[in-house]
Amino acid sequence: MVNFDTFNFDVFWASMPWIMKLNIFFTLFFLSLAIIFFVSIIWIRIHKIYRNEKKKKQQDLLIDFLNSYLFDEDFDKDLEIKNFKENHLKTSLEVKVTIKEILHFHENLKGESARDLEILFSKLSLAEYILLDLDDGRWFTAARAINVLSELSIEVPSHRIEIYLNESRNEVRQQSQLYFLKLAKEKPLKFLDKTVRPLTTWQQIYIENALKNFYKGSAPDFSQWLDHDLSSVVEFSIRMIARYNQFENIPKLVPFLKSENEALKCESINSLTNLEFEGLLELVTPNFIENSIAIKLKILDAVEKLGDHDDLMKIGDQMATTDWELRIKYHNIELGFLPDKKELIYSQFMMEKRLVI
Amino acid sequence: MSSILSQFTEIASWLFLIYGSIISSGYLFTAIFSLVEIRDYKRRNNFEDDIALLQSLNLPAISILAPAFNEGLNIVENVRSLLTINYPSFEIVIINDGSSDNSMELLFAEYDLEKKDILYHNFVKTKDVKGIYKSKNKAFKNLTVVDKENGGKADALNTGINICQNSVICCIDVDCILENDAMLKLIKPFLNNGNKVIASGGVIRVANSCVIEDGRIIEVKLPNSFVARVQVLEYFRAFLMGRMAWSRVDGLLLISGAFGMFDKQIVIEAGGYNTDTVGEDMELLVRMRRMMQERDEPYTVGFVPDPLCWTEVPQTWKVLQRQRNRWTRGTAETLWMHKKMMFNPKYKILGMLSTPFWFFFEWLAPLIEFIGILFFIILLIMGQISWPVFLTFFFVVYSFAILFSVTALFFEEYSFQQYKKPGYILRLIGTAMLEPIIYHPVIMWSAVMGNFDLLRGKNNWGVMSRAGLSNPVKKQKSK
Repeated sequence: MVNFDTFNFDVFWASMPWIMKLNIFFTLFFLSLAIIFFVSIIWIRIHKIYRNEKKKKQQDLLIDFLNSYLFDEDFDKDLEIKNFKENHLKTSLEVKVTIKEILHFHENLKGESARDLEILFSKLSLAEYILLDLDDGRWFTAARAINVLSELSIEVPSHRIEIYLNESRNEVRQQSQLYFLKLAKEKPLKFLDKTVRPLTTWQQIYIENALKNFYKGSAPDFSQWLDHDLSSVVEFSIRMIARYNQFENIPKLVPFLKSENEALKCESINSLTNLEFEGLLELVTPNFIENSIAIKLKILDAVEKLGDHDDLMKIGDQMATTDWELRIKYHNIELGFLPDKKELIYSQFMMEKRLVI
Repeated sequence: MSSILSQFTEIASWLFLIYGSIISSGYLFTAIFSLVEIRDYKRRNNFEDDIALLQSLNLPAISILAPAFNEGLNIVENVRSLLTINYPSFEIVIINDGSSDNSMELLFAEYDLEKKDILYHNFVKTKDVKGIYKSKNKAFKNLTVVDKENGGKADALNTGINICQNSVICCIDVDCILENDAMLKLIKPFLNNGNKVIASGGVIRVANSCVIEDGRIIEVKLPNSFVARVQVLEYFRAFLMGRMAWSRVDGLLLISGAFGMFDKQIVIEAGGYNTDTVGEDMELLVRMRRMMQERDEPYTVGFVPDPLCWTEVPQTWKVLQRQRNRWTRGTAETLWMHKKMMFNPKYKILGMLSTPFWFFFEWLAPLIEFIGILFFIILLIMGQISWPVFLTFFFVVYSFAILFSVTALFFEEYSFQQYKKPGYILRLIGTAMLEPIIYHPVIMWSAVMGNFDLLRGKNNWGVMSRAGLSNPVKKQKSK
């Protein structure tokens, strides 16, 4: 039993072995951290609930406001905008929710309603917040700001976005590319001239999608980027020439069949196949054997689409028995050319396979 | 004698203390790196939804490989769920690994299968294929079913690799429940990276007790059973803390076998899944990375922290022990097979950080812990225990274990907050407090037994029975 009258903590502590002191220190340290994290979890929970409630309130308000603004003819636009601005755009959360909700409406509306929303955005002075974000200096704020600008077609002086075209972050580069593309009345891919960082495949997919779905003008002549310094831009252009059926550019693609860059060579075979260029097989089949597997597979694709069984036979002799990937593709194409010999081709392949194994 | 014993006790205590300090520091750094990576990921993805790209035809086609062994109970519903995956171009390859139940008959009947003469080559050597089947129904044109002789999960996946058509493969467990945009998110690292990406993995979540409708999670619930609930915490720790941090430093050694995407060519060049280990998922990634390092080719491995895949975890002690026994054997086998990499600067972060970390803190930790307990028992028998010191030491370990779990829970709250009911947090905290006393000793014992079984030459998986997902319309999984 501890006698509290005579208990002296200092003496007790001093008499304790150092290892116990260390253990007690770490126990308290870990428990304190655990409590801090626990309190943080509760705080995050409460904060998120509180924030979500406010968001919901603002969203409900906005849904009514935007619906009236867009579709109610008796709605006094100037007065209501003034009221909304004064009473419901006081906090940064209100501003963020409003921007997001306008973007959401904008995504689902076209034509005049979409234009009205763009006007509303500017009347609510929301563009000012976005421009502040743009100059904020943090990459993710800038990327988000550029995203809003491009979604709502808000034009800013080009140089303010151009500086992000060659940012180190993929996401920022992608948003600035989409900004130029979505806002362009003509020359939608002009930004490629100023691009010095390679385009990722993901960015290429986004650019192609935006070109198809947002840009309203006539398609650019993609051959202008065939001599670009970046091979990813050249590769993209070669692909786009075929996607946009720019047959007039076929002669400009032919030299790429001799390119030392494998990706460009592959893409050019692919595009010329899709453009159904008749002279392709004569150019690529004679030296089939000198190519890499990836290119050989592309050549086989070309034979399947543009050639016949005789063309296929010409490259059959150039294939090693152990090139299984090629041989499978070869026989699959053969099956397509000679459907009535299906069983024979299959059994012959299986026999060869057994022999080699 | 007494002085020798006391000297030995002091040295051993010091060693345990040093080891404990290093392991705690390791976890601390892991937590910091994870936090940075999660914050970065949220920033990268908080302003644009890539889901619009699901309409695009420019995304590369994916082959989804799902091995199945005696899954007759749920195979039809599981395949149907896989066929509804939201992605522009994919094929599903179900590999029936010599099931002894009626899996094949059920698939035949439900999907109107017919045998097809499909040309393929054994790029990776496998057990014999009995037949390859496609559906006569055009609605299931994406489906290929391969019937083969039993050879284990690794062999089944290798068969799928040989037969599938596309250059990107996604290996999953057939009963996994995928999020709508899981494929898109998992392929993004392959397409949005300056370096060649050889594999990418996602976060696996616990599906037990969740409400599932038409093969999709519609309500996330905390498992009712304690064993499953602790695994929720374990998965937070493993994925949100561990793998996020390793991904930050490009030192990932494991992509879960339940859900991972790979560059098929690299997998084939590396030799496919190793059938001689029960840790085939870890071993494959280590071998692929080792090959790339030895070739001196720039590459990376992607990791996506979003909850993309939900799986059923063991909810009985027996099945859990078998699973952890197997994981231990898999880890030990992989580390042994690739021992050349350890502390070898040629393999950069993998050699100098990842493999040593796995060796000392994943494989060795339960053994050290076990030796510590034995040491304690010996001291107890010899009357050498200083109870005040022991109790303070126990509280250090206990408080650190709680801190580790609460930190993981904090990461979940900060990032994805899947368990929305406030009561869930309190239950998870309660679980975290009980885990070190009730659950952890069992896991440690399973790991010790795993090493023992490895020495005995045991190399089978053990029966992994599941409660299963039997009603795809609406069901609370494993209620």
